[in-house]
Amino acid sequence: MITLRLDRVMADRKMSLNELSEKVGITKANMSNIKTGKISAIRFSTLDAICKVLNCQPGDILEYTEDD
Amino acid sequence: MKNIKFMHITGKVGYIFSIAFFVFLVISLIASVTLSGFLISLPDDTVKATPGLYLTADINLENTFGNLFGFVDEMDNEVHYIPDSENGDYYQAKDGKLTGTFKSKDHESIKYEIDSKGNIHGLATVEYSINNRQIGIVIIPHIISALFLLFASFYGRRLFKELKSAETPFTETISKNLLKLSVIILGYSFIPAVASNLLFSLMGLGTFDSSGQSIRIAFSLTTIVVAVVLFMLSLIFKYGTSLQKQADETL
Repeated sequence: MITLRLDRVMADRKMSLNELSEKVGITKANMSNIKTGKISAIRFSTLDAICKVLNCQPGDILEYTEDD
Repeated sequence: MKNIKFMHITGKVGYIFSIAFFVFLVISLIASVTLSGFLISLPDDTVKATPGLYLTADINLENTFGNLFGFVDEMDNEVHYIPDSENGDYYQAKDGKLTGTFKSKDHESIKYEIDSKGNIHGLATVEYSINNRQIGIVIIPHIISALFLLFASFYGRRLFKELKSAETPFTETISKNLLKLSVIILGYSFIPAVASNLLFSLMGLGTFDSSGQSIRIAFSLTTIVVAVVLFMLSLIFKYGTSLQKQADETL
């Protein structure tokens, strides 16, 4: 399964959820959903904006793990 | 969005109408249940006649209940009749008089004669009934019918309530209520008709009114079509709801 590791990258960049959501241009609630993995899909445009703000690659945020 | 605003307006109008319809049905139901109960509780108003004697009660043939189907036309003083082949009754117009046979409670064929004034002459001891109880009983399918409509208006109200405030028409409430509505309307299309025809057959009644108006409930193909369309709509909205969920979870 694919899991989001946004919290790890955010900690590396020392960026708060508030600041990230403002810079990406989505609401804090939606950014929180992304961070906690409460979403089933993510648009390329959203991923693009997050990578731009955090200066990272999509692979830094997305991680594949084997299903149990 | 323009479409959503239109949906909200439709929802508000539908909500008001469904509440009005609901209240109207509740009042009608109370009235018909009371009427039915009252008529059933009345004593058996059987009319008796002996050979050669007029019945004491004049009978308005155009409003006759039971198995009598003839009526005397005041214009030409002729007896017109409607044969009731279903009950095997036989009517004959002759010299301005309507004669025929009908079945008594114990299924005996009894001959009678009706003159142009609408008086009944019994050719044998006649026990025939214009039975209030029967009227009370045949109202019951109409009560069942109204009950179905009451449920339909109840779920219709829920549906419109959701429509007037929802951000999207594709919600679980709407698809579920559409499904419930389709089942109720399907029941409405045939259950009262089956009950009505069954009661009329069991009680040995023909058409209920000599003027040709019948309170027997007929099957309605249109209503069945409406039920099927609503059922298909509920499936479409169910699929729409799952797509909406996916769209909402995509950021």
